[in-house]
Amino acid sequence: MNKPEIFSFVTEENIKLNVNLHRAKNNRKNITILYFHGGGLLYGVRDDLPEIYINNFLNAGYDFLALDYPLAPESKLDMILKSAFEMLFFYLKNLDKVFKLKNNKYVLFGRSAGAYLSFMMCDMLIKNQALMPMAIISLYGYARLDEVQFNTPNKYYNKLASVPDESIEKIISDSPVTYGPMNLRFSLYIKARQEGTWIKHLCGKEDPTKYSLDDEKLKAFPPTILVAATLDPDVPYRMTKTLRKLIPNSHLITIYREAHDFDRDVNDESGRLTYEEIIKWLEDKI
Amino acid sequence: MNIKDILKMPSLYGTKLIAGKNGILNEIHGVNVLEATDIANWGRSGEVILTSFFALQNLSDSELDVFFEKLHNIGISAVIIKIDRLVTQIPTKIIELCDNYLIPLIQISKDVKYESIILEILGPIINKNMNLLNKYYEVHSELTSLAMKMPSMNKILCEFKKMILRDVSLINSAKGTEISTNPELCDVTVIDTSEVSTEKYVHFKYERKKVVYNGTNPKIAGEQIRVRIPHLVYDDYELVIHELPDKISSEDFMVIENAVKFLQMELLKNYIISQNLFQQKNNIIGDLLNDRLYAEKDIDEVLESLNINRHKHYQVILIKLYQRDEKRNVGKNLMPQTLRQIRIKFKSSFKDIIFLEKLDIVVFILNFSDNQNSLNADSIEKIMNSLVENGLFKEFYYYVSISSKVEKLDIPKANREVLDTLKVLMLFYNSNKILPYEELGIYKLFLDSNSLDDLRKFISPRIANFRHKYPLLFETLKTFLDTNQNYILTSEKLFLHPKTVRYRIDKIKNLLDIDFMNPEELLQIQIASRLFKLIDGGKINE
Repeated sequence: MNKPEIFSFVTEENIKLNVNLHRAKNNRKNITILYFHGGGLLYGVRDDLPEIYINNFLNAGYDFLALDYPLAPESKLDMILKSAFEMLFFYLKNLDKVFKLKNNKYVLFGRSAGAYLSFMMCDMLIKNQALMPMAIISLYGYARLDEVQFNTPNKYYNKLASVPDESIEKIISDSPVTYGPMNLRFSLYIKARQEGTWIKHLCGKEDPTKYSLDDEKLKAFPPTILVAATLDPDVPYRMTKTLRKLIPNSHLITIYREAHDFDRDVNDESGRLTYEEIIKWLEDKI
Repeated sequence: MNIKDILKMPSLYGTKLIAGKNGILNEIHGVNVLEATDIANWGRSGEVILTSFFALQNLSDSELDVFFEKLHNIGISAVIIKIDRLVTQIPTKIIELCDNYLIPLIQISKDVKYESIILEILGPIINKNMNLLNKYYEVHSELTSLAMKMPSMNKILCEFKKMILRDVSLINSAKGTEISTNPELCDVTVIDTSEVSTEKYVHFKYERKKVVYNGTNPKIAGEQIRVRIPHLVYDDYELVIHELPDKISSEDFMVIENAVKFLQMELLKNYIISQNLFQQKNNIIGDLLNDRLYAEKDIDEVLESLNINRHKHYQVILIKLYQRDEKRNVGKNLMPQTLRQIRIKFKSSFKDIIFLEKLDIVVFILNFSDNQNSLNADSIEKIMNSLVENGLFKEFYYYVSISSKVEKLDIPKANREVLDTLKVLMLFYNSNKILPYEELGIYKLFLDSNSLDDLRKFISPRIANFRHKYPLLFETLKTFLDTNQNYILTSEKLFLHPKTVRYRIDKIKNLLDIDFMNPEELLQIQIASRLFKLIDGGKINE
């Protein structure tokens, strides 16, 4: 894989967001995969997807664009959504001038919180009557924040050592953060899940239902491929099953494992097979 | 060994624990006999105190309070009191104090011998220490024979792993690299850090970190011990022992202590070898830059040996540091350390790059292909800014001069360019500044001349005489022109009254017969003032 081209964009609120563009070299389809990373909206980096998977997309002829978005708790959820949407809109408006692409078609792809963002972006696109994605790829994603499991202490994380307050204070920055490597910020998420305050960090005093997509909205969504593991300790499997029922043209890949981001381990078969299946599904749908 | 254990010893069989029951798990490291209340002078943490009560019999209640507070502060593990003719029952005051301070109080009868208690307590402690020392010696011998085999760092870590039965990693914090017996354990999120209290025969400083291992699938929580390896010059290295599956023991610490010492020696050895190579390379690069290689064949050989012969183009970048506040004493190591950080940053940013280092200067030679752009001020500024953000230049300013793009035979020319550019930087700038040779403009004309005396021919004798005769007036004239003929600004810059400036300018007009509206005349003076600076600066440098 060649080094990506990096573009920068400054939001209305003066937050600088970077994007990495990987161009497909052969059998170009002129379709872009827009990727949002995971990390509970508290941590994570745009270049977290293992190279091997990016190459899968590139070899199949898709361009791959990985986007920054601001992270909580420095930025609250409305700001995160607004910034991500501005960035997305900037891409759609300037894909020829700035990015030198002819790609009017695109796919939204997210892992975990990135999949949540993809769903929310899709809803915002519908509201703004903007150009819709051809499909959505959701790996262990969710579309609601008002789930009980998200708002109560998490058993799996409580098995880890408890995170002291002082180490959290050191992490939180005075200004918006858009690049949060796991080794520096993961403990924010651990603590939030241990205490059941995760969604509070995102929404503040606002009602999380406001940031959840109700069933009617999902019915208007484009074809969506959903992937989740049955014993996911972070995002319960049933959430993905519900999405499968509600989104009309959707397909579910089930991984029979006790893991959240199972595709992190590139030596593991299930990751490789999943991406192969996603690409095959894309060929069929678009 | 704790109090519970000693109560089971034959010598204490059948004795009573009459107070301080909650301290029954206190660890024991030794035993001593109390004859007077001066315990602060000899008592040590973890000791069991034997006494016949003789020493305490005359103490008042308040004196007892003070005494037991001392025992508590020292960390005495337990008190054993022998009942005899003097005292048949232990006073309730003492029982209360022992309960308060969680100091177990054991009462023995007069026929129990001190000697047997001491032997039974000390026996296992001496054995344990002996075991630890044996372990230390054993590991030491193994490592000594390992050293003879000149192993690689990876091999050394593998040997440690065998000895300690846990994975180990070595982190180089300056370079941000890590080698490990299990690379899956390199990516961690630290949740909490605590100090490890020092055990016997342990000298280095250890930290225990609670972490989440992000590289394993699924992620696992764990603990690790980290110890910084003291180094003669740079404190870059940290040894990590992954405490999986369970916590490490005192014996393991003997291995780690040895390992740290061994790594210390290895790193020192590597450092000395690298210093030697560094000097050699410095000399060779010095020859290359200063045109001391005469045949093209020699240049090719040198470029090949330095591994910068793959591409067609070269560029020389010179960075000089100077102290912000010359009077400050900044420690003699700070300059080389700062230069080293710059070197590390550049070497990690470019693939084909070598450097030469002198007192306060580092010179890079960059090798690049047709497809790549040559370096400009912007790209260097990005690198320098990232170093500034890391607080590297608190004590120093930097000058960076950049040569034009040359081919191999012109490397000495590029070197002259950066040296010339540096001359201008040093004369005309007083803070962080990056200047490519190509932007020197008209100065190139003057810098190309070999002799400073040549420069004089560019200055009109009228101006030279005037400056010679009236140095103060010339300074005023120069400042007046530099400020776009602004009287107020000139007076501020020269700390003069505006009237004085006005008076002086009038005088200059008369003496030199200048027309301040004539750009040609003004240009002559402006150029002359720059040239004087170059000439004067040149003299100092010579």
